Amino acid sequence: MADLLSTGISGVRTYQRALATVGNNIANVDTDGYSRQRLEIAENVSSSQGSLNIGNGARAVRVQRSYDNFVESNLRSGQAQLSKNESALGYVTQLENIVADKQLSLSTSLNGFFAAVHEVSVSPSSVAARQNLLNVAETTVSQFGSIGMQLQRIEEDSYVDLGIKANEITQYAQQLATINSALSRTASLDKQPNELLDRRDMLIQDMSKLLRVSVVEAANGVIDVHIGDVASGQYLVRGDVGSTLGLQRSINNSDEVSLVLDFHMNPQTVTQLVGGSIVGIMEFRQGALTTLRDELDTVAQVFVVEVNEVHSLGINAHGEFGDELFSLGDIYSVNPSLNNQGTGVVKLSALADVAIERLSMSLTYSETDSQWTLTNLATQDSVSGNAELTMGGIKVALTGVPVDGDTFTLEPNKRSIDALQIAATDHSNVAAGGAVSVARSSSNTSATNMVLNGYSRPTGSIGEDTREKLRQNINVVFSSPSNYTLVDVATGTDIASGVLSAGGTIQHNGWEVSFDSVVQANDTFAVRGNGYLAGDNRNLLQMIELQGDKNLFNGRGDFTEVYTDIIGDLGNGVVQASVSRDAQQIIVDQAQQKSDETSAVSLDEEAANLLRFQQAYQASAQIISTASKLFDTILGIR
Amino acid sequence: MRVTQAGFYNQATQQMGKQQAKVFETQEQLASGKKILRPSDDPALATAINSLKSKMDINQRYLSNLNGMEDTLKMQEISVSGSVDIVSRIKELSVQAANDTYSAADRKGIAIEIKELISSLADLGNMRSIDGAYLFSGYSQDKAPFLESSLGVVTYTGTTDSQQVMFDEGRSMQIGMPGSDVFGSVQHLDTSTGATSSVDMFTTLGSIYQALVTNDSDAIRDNLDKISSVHEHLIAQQSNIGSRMKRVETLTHAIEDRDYTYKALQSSMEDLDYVEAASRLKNQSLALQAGQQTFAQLSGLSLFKYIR
Repeated sequence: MADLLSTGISGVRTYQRALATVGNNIANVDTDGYSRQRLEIAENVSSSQGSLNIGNGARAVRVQRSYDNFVESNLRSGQAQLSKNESALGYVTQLENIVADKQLSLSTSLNGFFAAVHEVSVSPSSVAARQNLLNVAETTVSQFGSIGMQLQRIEEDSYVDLGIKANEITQYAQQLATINSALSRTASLDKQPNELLDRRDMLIQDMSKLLRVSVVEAANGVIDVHIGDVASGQYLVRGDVGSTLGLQRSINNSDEVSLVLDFHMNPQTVTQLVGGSIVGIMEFRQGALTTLRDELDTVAQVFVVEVNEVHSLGINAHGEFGDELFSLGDIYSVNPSLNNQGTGVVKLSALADVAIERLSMSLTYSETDSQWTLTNLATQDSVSGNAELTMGGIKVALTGVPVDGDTFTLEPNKRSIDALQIAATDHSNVAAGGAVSVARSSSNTSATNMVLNGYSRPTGSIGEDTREKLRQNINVVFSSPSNYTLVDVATGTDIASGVLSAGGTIQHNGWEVSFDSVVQANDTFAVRGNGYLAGDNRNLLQMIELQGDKNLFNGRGDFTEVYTDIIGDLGNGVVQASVSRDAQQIIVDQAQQKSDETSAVSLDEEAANLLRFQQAYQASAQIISTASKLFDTILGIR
Repeated sequence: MRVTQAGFYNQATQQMGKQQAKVFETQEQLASGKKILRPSDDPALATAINSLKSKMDINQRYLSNLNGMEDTLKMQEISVSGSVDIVSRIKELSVQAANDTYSAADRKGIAIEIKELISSLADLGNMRSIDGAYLFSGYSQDKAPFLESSLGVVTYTGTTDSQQVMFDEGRSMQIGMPGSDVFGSVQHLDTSTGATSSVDMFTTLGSIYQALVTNDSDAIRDNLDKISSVHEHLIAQQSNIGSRMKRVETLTHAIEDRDYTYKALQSSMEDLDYVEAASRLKNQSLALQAGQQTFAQLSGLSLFKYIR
């Protein structure tokens, strides 16, 4: 039977709830992850009175969350991409700041080094200039070192950052697992508490910013979270179990890291890395950071190898061939085995034109064939020899007396840019002079001069120091204007003979000479090895040539050009990263706007609803009052 | 479209944030006076600036080299012009002494003076540059090239090399003068036979001295022509140094000009157009202000204000 009083009461009760919902919306206007709620109101079942069906008021069915799964998952994947782009941009910008920093400019410090070489070439006999060259070389080395250190710091920072983020994901996964177990107590999504669902969705969104995930929702709101897309089969959250996410450095290359799921129980390397700031950082490490470090290593390596080669063919103040001016000794750590019986000594240097690989190697001596064997431990490739072995861009020189079975292990240690050191410590070690001089004999018939075109390291067997051959004193004796004999001055023996073509050259022991005019029969010319000559700057002039040598980097250009290239690449990298960040920002802004339109609270709307429900409440109350009056009317009938 | 509180505030703060970033960047440009603050502002321009700077560094180095060359040449010039004076004096004394009216004692007196002059000439040959290097010893710059024995015989101990110094990319210039060229062999034309031969400067001067000591007037007369050749040779050396100084000067001007060109280029690439930047700043701050004002106005609009 229709009952006006209970109809009024149903209205009052319903609108009381509606007002409470509006109030809750207003109260949560600034709550993160809150989805606007709406009370769903339905009519009560009518009661039939004869042929009439009279309504029985209204009731509150449920509190509905304004939430669109599609919009939210769009926003999540957009944000994953955005935070990937953002973290990549942040890190690339750090690199740019280091490389663009004027105080750290490598081209400036290399120019500084060559300027000091110039200085000595102008005043070769000045001890002060030579000492200054070493001081400047020291500065150059420390410039390389400080860039290397800054890059190392970025590498470490990004590693720590990754660790923190992986840990955050683990936390999120645990929290989601807890929520899942709470949700699993109820069978239907409709009955789930809204705040629990809001909290669940917010956790997924926070997680997506770190690592892009896919979510599969069961009918009761319990979710499974996969890394990447569902096909990856790698669960971060499965029911009430949350996985742990950890980091692992690669054994072969400590710069390489991978994400490992379920680190303690059943470790699996994460395969799908599509979005999220973790992916941005990992891509930065493998991309821009590694590229830049490799490039700078190449610059350091080429600089050291080329300068050393020129320097080693010059004559220093002791009248000897120059030693290394710079060294790259610490690129590997060399560890002798504790069982070694011999006195073998291992010395490392870099090769020109070959990038230094970072290999684990072992070196063993065998007495049967008196040879050393250098083995790449990863591939088991090996090379053997008795003086000098090369592998992976480095040269291993062996001296001392080894005993059968003596072993050394070689582990990659520092990068070239960090390993760069100054080797010459005393100004007397600066090899400024040329090793070879030429002269004509004063008794020659012709006035023709012999010209030294240049010299290079004489050829010889592997490991042999052939440089002294350059200093063999030789007379070039012409029996006719074209036929010549090379005579060793010390022994008076003929070494070689040949025919000089017009404008041709004579080459021997690494040197090359030509003649500025026609030679007469019986003319004699001298090729002499030099000792220390204080004013001889020819080797420095050779060294200066390196500064503008465009062939040092396989045709990429000289030092400045290559370094400029590196800066340009990095600048372009930042531009690209910032363009894709900005583009992604627009996408995310739109997705966020869509999400806000659906789920966020509008105060104006709530104000209107407040009035609306207040009026409905007041009207319902009026119904009760009317019903009471009607009842009184009935009672008042006498 | 539903406008929500969160959406409205998000958008407003984002817009203002973008405007603020623009204002900040312009402000940074104005403070530094540079068009580009980091390579990513314009990678192509940044690389161009970097290579230009490197060129400027190297150019500066060439200028220093040329300065060093000029110093060396000046010292050489001082030494050689001093030698010309000394040889003139020797020549003058020899001509006097060749006169038959001079007695053995007179000639001895002249011989003493000539011996001193020869020593002074050797000293000039042993002159050092500002940084202590012997100017005329070839590559043996740390050793005095002219040794004078107790008998007054001067011998050259340096090398015959002449040092080269680089003054531009791939271009170098001879700057060293070995003593064997300057104070050593002298081309002498024998007027009686017409033959050219090479004589040693200190040997020639030594024989004059010996002829004076031994009072051998024929020998004195024989050597007079040779002394003239020595004199002419030194004057030729002097003009040789002069022409090289001229060349260094011209090169210095050329490289300085190049430096100015580089500097002008650098300024046009790097320096900020202040007028443009200032007016840009004005525009950007105006836009930011407009954004702030509308935000303040709109955020004041609420239905709740009207519900009493």
